[in-house]
Amino acid sequence: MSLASAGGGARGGAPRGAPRGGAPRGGAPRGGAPRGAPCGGALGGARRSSLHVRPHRCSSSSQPAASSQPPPPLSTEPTPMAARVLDGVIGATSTPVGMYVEPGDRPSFVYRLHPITKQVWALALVLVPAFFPQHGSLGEPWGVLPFPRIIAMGSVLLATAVSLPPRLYVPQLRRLLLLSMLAFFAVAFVSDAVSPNVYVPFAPPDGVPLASLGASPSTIASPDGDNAPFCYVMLEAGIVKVTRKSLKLAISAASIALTVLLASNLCLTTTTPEASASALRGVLAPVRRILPWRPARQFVDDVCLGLLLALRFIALVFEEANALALGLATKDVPWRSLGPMRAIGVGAGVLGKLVRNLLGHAEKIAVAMHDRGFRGASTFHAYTPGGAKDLRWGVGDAVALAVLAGAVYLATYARSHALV
Amino acid sequence: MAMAARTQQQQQQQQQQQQQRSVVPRVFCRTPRAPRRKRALRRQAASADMSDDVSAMQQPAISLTHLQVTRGQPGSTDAKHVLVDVNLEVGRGEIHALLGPNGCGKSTLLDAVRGKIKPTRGEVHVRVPTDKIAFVPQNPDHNVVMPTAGADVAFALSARGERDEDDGHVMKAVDYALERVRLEGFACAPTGTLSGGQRQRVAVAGTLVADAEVLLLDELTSYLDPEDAEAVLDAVRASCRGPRAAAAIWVTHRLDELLKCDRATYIDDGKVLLSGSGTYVRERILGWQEEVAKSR
Ligand SMILES: Nc1ncnc2c1ncn2[C@@H]1O[C@H](COP(=O)(O)OP(=O)(O)O)[C@@H](O)[C@H]1O
Ligand SMILES: [Mg+2]
Repeated sequence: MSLASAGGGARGGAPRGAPRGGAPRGGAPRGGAPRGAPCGGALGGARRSSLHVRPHRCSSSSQPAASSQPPPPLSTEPTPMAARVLDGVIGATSTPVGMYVEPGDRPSFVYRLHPITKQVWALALVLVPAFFPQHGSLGEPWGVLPFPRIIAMGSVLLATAVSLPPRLYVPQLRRLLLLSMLAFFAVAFVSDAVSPNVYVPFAPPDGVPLASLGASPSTIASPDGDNAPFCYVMLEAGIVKVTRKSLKLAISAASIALTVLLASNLCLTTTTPEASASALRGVLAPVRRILPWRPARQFVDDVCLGLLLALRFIALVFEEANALALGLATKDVPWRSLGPMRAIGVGAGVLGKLVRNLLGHAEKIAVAMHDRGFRGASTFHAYTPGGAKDLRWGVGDAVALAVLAGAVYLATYARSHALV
Repeated sequence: MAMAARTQQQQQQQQQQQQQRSVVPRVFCRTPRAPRRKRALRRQAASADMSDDVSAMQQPAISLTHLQVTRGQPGSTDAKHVLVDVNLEVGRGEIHALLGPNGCGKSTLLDAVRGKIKPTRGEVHVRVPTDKIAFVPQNPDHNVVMPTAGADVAFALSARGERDEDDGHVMKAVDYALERVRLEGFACAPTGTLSGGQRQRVAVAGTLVADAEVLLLDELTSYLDPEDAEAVLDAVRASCRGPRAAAAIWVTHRLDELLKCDRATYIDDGKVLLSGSGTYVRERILGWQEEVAKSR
């Protein structure tokens, strides 16, 4: 990813801020790449350097200075790890995850659901698969696949693909896949490599095979008897040992990670944060009313406002990380001569600066809130820009919740029958 | 905002009617007339009341007299007089431009007006309630509070607990304010994806919604292109000329904007070098610049 394009995409965010009603001007493209106005952070200093001789030119002459950084030197040598990590950070932060995306002409069903329905579904997609019976299938050819988890992941993927344009979700998906792959390999290599010291504190009931209690057996009897023996240990190299069980666990872990990330991303991209917070407030209102204790009621208000501000903060984190990474990239740090330890030191320094900057931002936002009339969470009532229709319960919600109830019933039914 | 403006107009009319009623009491029709001397006294009192009211309106909304502000620990070596003997008056309905090189103390002056810093000498009088003072800082990132543009514009109303019940007055106010700053259709845009100039305009829209009576706008146009800058300045002017008769201090570096400002003050190194009507100050600064160019 080239630096110049990363800088433009970071600030402009042209595709996302697209106007609702197709405004002819004042639109997002104008606010895009070339005007990438510096906002504090590493590049902010360029703004102050202008002289006051010709006031007209002050603003126009100082701004390109920030965005016209020299391109990174092209070299045929392999890029050092640190530089690649830096590039990755710049790329990752220039497509922020979890920001509201305005629907196109034909909003998908996800947009029309009530925020609470979406949140309940997101939670259920992670929790419900855990209720389906999991054991006793490792010996079968497809036994390594945790089907309920994969179905949950598939349905989020489908919902994402239906509701968001590909140019938005494909890059996001790539990064999320990377994260879940990390989970996959970590679990696959480690989970069964060291035999766990599991002591069964009580004698298992008759008829329950030991394998289902978590201890890893060296062989598993094939369901078809002796004629189709299969290998329990799939790969063994040094301390790395991949078995069917660890493979299944790894697939589970990766799909859980992907489901969590995708589901929360979908919730955030199809609901304005204000609608989420207002919906939460609406749900908690009865609770708040019956609470006898004033601090407890205040706590409910604080939670709702806190959610709103946290969602504002996500964008800030991305912005600040991007600014810092870009600043570091333009400094042309000689990574190769630094060596890994000092490179890590530089990284830690930048991380510290990130945290400091973010805390500074938080403080400034708090001051701005006070200046703009904020007098406490209990009197604050967030305005939902999408209007009241964002918070209306509809037929879609009834259907979605009914489907969910059906799935939960199915899970409990299957479980009880498998155990009997 | 249209709604808010209208209701305020109605309120003002009602107040005026009440005043008129008190000036010419209805009891006159029914009771025998009061003795002439008493009537004269009454009339006098009424007119005095009226003139008091008028003079309260005519008094400048902001007045700074012999203002001196010191930054840094007083007495220490880094103590510095940022503003020295500054006199400034901004009347209601007036838009006052403030110019000067970087670091001359413009933002400090606004801080003093907002009451964020105490003057070491001189006086600051702001004749509106504190919650009617709106401020847009130089860096727009520090002003955006909410995750979505529309909600950020509505922040002042949200903080008061106002919400759209049936009438949708908040929505109308937000849409109107966004239109004034040429951001129509941006109500649902995440603030994280806005550019610096767009954020600044969102901040201005927020002050338009808040029915502020004193507007303090710090170098907005350094992030805006000329067209947007003009739109924002027009919106501020409309706020000043409207029924609320807001007083505005507009910090800028662009001389062309002075043509739209009623008065202007040029500060250098904490001192007022030049003050007068917008056109006059503009001519003088252009003259200086010509002289500087010639002497080179
Ligand atoms: N918090 C502070 N502490 C000490 N000095 C300050 C502080 N803020 C500003 N100054 C100084 O005050 C002077 C005026 O600053 P400022 O009002 O921000 O100028 P500008 O006209 O560019 O807005 C500058 O010389 C600056 O260094
Ligand atoms: Mg300033």
